[in-house]
Formats: sequence, structure tokens, C-alpha cells
Amino acid sequence: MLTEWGLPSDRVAAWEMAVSELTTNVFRHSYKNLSPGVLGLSLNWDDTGLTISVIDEGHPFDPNLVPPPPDPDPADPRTWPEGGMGLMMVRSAGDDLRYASTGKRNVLSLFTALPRVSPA
Amino acid sequence: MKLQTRDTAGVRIVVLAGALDAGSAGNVRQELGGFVKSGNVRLALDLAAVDRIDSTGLGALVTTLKAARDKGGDLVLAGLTPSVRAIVELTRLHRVFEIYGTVDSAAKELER
Repeated sequence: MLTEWGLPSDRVAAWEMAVSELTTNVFRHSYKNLSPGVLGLSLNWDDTGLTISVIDEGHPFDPNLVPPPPDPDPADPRTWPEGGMGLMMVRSAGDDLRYASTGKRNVLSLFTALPRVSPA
Repeated sequence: MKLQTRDTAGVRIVVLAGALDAGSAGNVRQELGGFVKSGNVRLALDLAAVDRIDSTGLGALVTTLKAARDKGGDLVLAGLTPSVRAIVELTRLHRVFEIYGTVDSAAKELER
């Protein structure tokens, strides 16, 4: 759909990766010890930019409260990350990662400042 | 994801092809971990035909690297495509893995 909208293909690959990382996080963590629930995806492109949102009704998780992982030290295997890299990849695909929790619904949105220009 | 191996002097060359992501990382982790457990602790991974890598795939490589180093070996990467290299650099893992242009040069280095 992003390609059909005429968005640049080099960015589309990064956004696809971001969606994959975010939905993997939902599969892995959001419903841990809960009954299976919804996984929603929403795309919105307007005159401010593109917003890709992943929605679930599992455990609340605000990635902006998680400190970025420290730079790995080549000499210290304890600092070599086996996880937590997904959010770095998500953030790099856009300009802002926003989290909102309303009631039981968690919405994690990646915003990219790439305004849609209406045809003249 | 396809995985093929060939051995040179003391080095197991592992050629991966396809997507190294959440769908395949579990198998890859198990295969590579099995090599280390059975004493093949020097691994050179050829990633030239890996067209996609995600955080779960990278995690599998880091797990194997730690296991290999624990046993006095190593795991090195070779042949990264520009998009895979960009992700390795973004996640700062180029500080952790030795990276070579070709798997043959990687294997030669590991043979020393």
C-alpha cells in the first residue's frame, strides 16, 4: 500500500522492517500470560507526514521509558546485546516514536515527517 | 532460509541464504549452536545471499558468537549486502563482530 501511495521505495523497506519489529514485539510480549488478543495496524498519510500505528490490547509498554542500550564493548561479552535492537531499528525508520494508552488499548506510532502533497 | 556448510582447515564455513528474521532465527540459532557444541568453534558466516535481517536474526548471531568465544573460538561475518551492513552498523554490532569482504578471506583469517 505504501508503494501504491507513491512513497519512496528506499523508505518503504525501512518502514516494512519497523512494522515487522513492532508486530514481533506484540506477538512476543504484549499478551504474555494473557489470552490472545487483537493486533491492529493503521496507516495514515496526511499533510504533516506518515504515521504507522500498531495497536494491541495487551500489557502496556512505552518504549520511550526504556533507556537506549549502551554501546557494546568489544572486550566485554556481557555488553553484547541479544535483544533490544528492534526498537533501535524502528526509531531509525522514522522521526518520532509515540506511545499512547487509552483504556486497555495500546497504540505505538511511528511518525515520519514526509508531508503528503495534494494534487493541484 | 537455506543453510549450507563446508569445512576448511579448522574452520566451518556456513553459507546462509534468504531472510534471517523472526521466522528463521530459531532454527539458525539451533544449527549454529549445535556446531559450537560439537566442537566446530570457528565459524565463518557467508551472508552474501541474506537479503533481510531483523533484530531476532541478529540476536541469534550474537548468542552464537558468545558461545563460540566461550569455547575459545569465534564467529565472523562476511559478504554483507549494503542493507544488511547498514542494520549491523545501526545496532552497533560492527563493534562486536569481525566483518570481512569475502568468506574466503574470513576463513583464512580464522585459520591462523
